[in-house]
Amino acid sequence: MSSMSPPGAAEEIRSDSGRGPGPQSHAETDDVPWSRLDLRVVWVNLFGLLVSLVPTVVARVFFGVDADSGSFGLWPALIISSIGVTGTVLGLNRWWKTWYRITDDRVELITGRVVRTYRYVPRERIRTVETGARLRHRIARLRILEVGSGEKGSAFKLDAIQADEAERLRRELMGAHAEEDEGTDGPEPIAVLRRHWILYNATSMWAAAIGALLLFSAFWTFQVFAVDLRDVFRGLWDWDALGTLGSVLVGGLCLHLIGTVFLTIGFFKDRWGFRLERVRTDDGTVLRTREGLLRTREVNREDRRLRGMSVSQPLLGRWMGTTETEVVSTGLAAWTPGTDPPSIVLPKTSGKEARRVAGLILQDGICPLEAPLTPHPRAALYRRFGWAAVVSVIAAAAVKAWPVEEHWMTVVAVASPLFFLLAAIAYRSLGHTRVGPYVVTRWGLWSRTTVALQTRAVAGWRFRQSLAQRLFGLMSVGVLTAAGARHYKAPDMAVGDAPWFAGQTTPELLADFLVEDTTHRSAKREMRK
Amino acid sequence: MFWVVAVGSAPTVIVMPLSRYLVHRWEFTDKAAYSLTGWLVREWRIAPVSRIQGVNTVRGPLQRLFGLATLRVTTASEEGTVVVPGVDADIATEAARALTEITWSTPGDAT
Repeated sequence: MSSMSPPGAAEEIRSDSGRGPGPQSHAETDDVPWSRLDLRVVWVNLFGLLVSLVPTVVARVFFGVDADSGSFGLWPALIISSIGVTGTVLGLNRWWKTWYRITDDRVELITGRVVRTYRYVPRERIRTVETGARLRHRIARLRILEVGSGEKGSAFKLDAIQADEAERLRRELMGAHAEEDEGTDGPEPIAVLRRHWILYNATSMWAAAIGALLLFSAFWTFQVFAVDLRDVFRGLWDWDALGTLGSVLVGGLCLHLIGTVFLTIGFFKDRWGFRLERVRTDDGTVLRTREGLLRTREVNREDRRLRGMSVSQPLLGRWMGTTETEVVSTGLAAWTPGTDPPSIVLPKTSGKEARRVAGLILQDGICPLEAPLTPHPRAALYRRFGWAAVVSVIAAAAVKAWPVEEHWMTVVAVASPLFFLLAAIAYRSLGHTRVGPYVVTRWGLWSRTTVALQTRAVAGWRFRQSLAQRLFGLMSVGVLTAAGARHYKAPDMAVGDAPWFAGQTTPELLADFLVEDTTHRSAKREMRK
Repeated sequence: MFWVVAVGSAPTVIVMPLSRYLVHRWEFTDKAAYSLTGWLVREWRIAPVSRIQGVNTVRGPLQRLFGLATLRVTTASEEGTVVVPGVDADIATEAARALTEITWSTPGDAT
């Protein structure tokens, strides 16, 4: 907000400079003023406090809830309110003790008044700048700015600053978007939201679990007003007439429906106005996504850090081709609480759409994700059958050992062939190849992932062999990299193929460690023992 | 009960150290750091010198008693850390120094 110097900040910085990157002095940057978060954060928080008190007041005054009512008395309402109060106090505290500034070579953040922490990110290390806003921020014209520097989480978060200020910082840190300066509408977007994508995003095998979670939180919400949902549901239906199995089926179906409705609402809330486009900036191009109805989000991913792409398909969505599309980049946070990781560039779509977008993103016309893959040896299938057999035997033994009803044995007998089917599916998803500058691998049962990684991004290899794999003549390969998930795998390759594949990909790296095995077939090479 | 414990732990007490001693290998060249470790699960790891971010030696109390050290070569990928346990302390120090020197003289951005 206002530009002022935090009391004692300058001295603190000097005493901190020992941890800085080197001898350069702060003299020339000391006159850059420090900024604070926007004062409106305080008003937003105070408003939040009032809202959080509403349940308690309503429960007490209108419903006459007191310590003796319901199963839990006034406690649920009190807990909700105290969470609200804590949040408000933390927000106020954050505004009170945060300063930031951008100098020529770094972004600096100071938090704390008594115990002061100083944090800086060199500007050339900044990989992503993300702006977001919840509804309450948008009403107050505030934005949350997150700066990523290639660590696992976000390096730096300003919660919250004025929308104009956030835009100014984004431009300053990431370079202005060329088309905005020219005042044109910008390039043709790579993808925009299509209504029918809802089919791919709202169908989930976890919908019932989501529904259960929702009911669970609804249960506690109603406890605030001393209404017990358990009694309500008991009265809804003649459960006894349905029997156990019928009740489970009907209940499960209801939960699934509730979960699906929730997913549908969530999809439109998060993805409204979704737009993926490639934008020119001062230093190169970025892939930019913009989306969100109440809570907006904009993510910029630099093209020069792009190292490949990955697509994954959930097992139960495969019949309709549900596909999730991600970029493999260095310096993108792998995990962000509460939202999709920034590597996801597209909501779940059809495989065809995912392939089209991947082609437009990679731009080299190679389409590595569509390359035919080399299947893995039959032994990999037998090893998976082995696991299926082990699981079946353990399940049968467990049913035998525990005093449960007889029909559980029937369940196990029915499930066993299913395990073998899953084993076969898992085997069929295995594959690997090399196309042009890419190494491609595919694996996974519940979610089948195909990754195309540029060979220049390969930063090491890991080969693993368990006792069983030694028996079957198999070896698992791990491709190590600084990009994306840091580690991609090609499980259960033939022992002779694994080092050969790696050696083909990075010849100069493995040459010293491969030995020609002349006792077997001539092409076979082994890792040196 | 004593015999159950004794027989049960025999593999880890006798077979594990022996087989680990026989299996474990490591080598640092001017191109890469390489290690082979494991007992039931064998693992080969290779990290190119141009991607190495750090080389350090770690010595626990037991290792200090036997004059040993563990070499750790870290890269941008956590799973790619080349770990060499139980190396003679002097050799480990020397290897770490030599590898650090090679790393410094090799161009690369460590990512």
